[in-house]
Amino acid sequence: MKANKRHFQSKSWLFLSFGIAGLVLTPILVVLGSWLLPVQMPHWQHLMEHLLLSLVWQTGALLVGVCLLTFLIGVTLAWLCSQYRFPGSAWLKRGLILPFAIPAYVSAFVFVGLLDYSGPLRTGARIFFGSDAWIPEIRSLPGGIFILSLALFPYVYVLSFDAFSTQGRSSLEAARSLGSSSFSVFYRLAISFARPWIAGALCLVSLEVLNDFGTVSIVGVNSFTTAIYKVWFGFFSPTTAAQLSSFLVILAFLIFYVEQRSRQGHRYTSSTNLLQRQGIPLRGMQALGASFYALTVFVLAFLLPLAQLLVWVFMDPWAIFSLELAQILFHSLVLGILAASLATLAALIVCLAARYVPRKSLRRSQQIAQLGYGIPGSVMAIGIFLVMVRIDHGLVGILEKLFDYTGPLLLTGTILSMVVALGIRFLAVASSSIDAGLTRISTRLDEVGQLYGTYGWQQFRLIHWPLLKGSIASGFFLVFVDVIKEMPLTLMTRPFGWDSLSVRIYGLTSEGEWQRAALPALCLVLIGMIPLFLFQQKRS
Amino acid sequence: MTYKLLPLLITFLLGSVAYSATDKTITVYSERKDHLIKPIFDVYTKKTGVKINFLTDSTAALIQRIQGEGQKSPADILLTVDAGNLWNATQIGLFQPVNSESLQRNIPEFQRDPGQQWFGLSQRARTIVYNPAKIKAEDIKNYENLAEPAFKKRLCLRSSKKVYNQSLVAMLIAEKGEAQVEKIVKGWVLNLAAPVFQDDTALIEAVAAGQCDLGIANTYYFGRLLEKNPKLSAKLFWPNKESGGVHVNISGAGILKYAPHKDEAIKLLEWLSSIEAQELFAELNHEYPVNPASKASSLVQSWGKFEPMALSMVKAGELQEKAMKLMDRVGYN
Repeated sequence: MKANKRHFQSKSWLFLSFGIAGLVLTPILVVLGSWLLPVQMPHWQHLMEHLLLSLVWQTGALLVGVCLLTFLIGVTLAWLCSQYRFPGSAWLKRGLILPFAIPAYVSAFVFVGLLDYSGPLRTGARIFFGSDAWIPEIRSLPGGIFILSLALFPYVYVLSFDAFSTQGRSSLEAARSLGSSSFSVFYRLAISFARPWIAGALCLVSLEVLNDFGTVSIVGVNSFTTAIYKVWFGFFSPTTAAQLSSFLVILAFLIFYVEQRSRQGHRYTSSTNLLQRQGIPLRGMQALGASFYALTVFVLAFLLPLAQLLVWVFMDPWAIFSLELAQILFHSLVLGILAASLATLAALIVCLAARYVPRKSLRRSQQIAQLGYGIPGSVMAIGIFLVMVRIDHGLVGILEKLFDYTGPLLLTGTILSMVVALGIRFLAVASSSIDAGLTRISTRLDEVGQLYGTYGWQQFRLIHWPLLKGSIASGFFLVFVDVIKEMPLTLMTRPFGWDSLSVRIYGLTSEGEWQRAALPALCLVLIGMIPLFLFQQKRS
Repeated sequence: MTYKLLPLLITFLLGSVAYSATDKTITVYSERKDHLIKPIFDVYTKKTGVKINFLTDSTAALIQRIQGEGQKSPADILLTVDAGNLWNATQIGLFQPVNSESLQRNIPEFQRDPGQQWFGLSQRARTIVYNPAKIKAEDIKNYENLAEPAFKKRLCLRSSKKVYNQSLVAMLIAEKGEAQVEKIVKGWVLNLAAPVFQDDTALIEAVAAGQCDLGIANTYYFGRLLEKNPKLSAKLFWPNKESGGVHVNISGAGILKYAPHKDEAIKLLEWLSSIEAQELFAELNHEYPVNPASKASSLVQSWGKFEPMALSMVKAGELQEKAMKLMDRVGYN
């Protein structure tokens, strides 16, 4: 009887997990399936001859550059903030997560506004020093790496901070007591302990870089995404665009694969609580240096963009917080909450399924469920839209036959389809947080539980939920922030009159109206900060 | 308790269906942004009681949406910018021909589709902007002229990814042939003073700040900046008829093939081409009306008169792909 019940439970985990993976996979298959459509040779020939080389080089340089820089900034800050005390460390530790709230495209238009020739900095330099040649060109590849790194380093920071404060603490202490220098402890022990976390973070960073469109187009870098847009918007060839994006899908596959490999053979568990112990106090120049470094990053990545947005809001006569803006803000909030709930629930299901039913296929299904994150939002948008509209036509066809239904389509252009699309896209973010949490719960606990007859739902309720709550909440908050920042998918799937903040920002910035976009951007940053504060509470 | 909330949730999630199905409502898919169309739609609703739903996005995305929705599409009108976009939508078979006397009377022939599938609603001139402190108007002639070595490190351009530049180059190809235009565009690229800009506003600001002496931009961006800063150190230059005239593009609209409210939608287009609506439509964005009987705003009129290139807008669409490839070949980013 009991065995039967367990069999039934493992079957339902299987169906649920496969169902979710299937949902994610469908738009991806649509993208890959584009190769079954006729290949438009003139477009491809042109791409190969004139664009491919430069876009592979620029995308590669961007990817490597941003990974290196986010790794450097993220890991060093996490190490400083988790191990040491220095002036300001108490609040910088928390504050350094705030750049998450600023979408990369917003910091891109802020930095270009500040650092371009006609901007205040270079104008000032010309007036006071007679030359601005020492200020580097922001609209360039290095400029793009700089902006994206400042926007994305919090991924590395947050995850390696967690790793440093929980992993192998006793080993670190032992190494220190045996006289290892701080640097060698950091370099030889901490980094290798934290490897899975850092790899996970860099994986997210890479995917964000690959599917970024806003930043690269503002700084004028030719990446895969800009080429996809060019082919789609300029040559009016969605087929070629989808074919081109299949390369991005493959790249995303590869990145996930490498990340999984780097995790293999490592099972890390630790029962030590976060932030329980005070850090080692730094003194003198060291303390000053640490403060200065952390503060500089914080100012560049967060305070400066925020300040510039505020200045624009105050300078702009259009910037009035109207009823309409309140409505748009409300839309963003609702969308964020619904999509984040869906993504978190789905992520929880695939992660738990892989844990409760130890089958290789379920592990695969969990990995597949993360793939939605790897494709540019715009391509995902076409994929999802085409599938959805097909289902919708089918549904309406049946209704017409059975009930003489004559109305419009039922799913396309509804909030439901928009929420599902966004949920699928950001499942990976929730999943990586929940998975990291699950990894930290020793499987011994499960085994002990099983010895006492706790399975399935009971196992979750009694053992995993209490230990996993924090990770689930973190996943939810991170998805929420990502959803409200998202642009192309929201644009493509939204119903009438359902403009969100990011849609409004797109509308204004695409017309070059940066200043008018400042108020909605400011609102976006502010509501993005709320879940980040809650996230901090959860962490500490 | 939770189940009681379920119907409420379903209504909320699928709510927009009922919302878009009511009669006396026209649905417009538009690339023209919210703040440039809403005020004028509000005037129409006030006047006629007909409600207008609209959805803004880029044209390519809207086309995908319309194609996907097929016969069930709620959209009546596709309103877009750039003749190239309109031409492409026609090629895909998105529009239906409209026989309307008033549309034909109000809109000059070269600014609508020969098959009456789309109609220009406003004109936008893409001309040369220069900094009078750095260059004299006498030294400028036309677009071709900007490729000369005399302008080395003095020119600013917007990205070739923007359709406005694609249409400009397409129209130049129609006029002068591909080989000659390739030389011109190559010359432009060699003359660049800064990496290409992503929008015309930034470009005009760079001209005014002196980063470059001159550039090519749509005049309404100039108008918006002028509105904010009347002392802007930039001026417009109009290439005259002998040297080819000014490149003019349009924003326009067509009735979609499966429009559920065709008659109402035609009425809206006809109203949009009327003198009253034309002046409002153009004024909202400092553009030029297409209806010859309407006047541009006084600010726009103060920039002086110009002579447009005398070519049908259809060419911009036909030659767009050729233009894009040409720009890629010469390394115009």
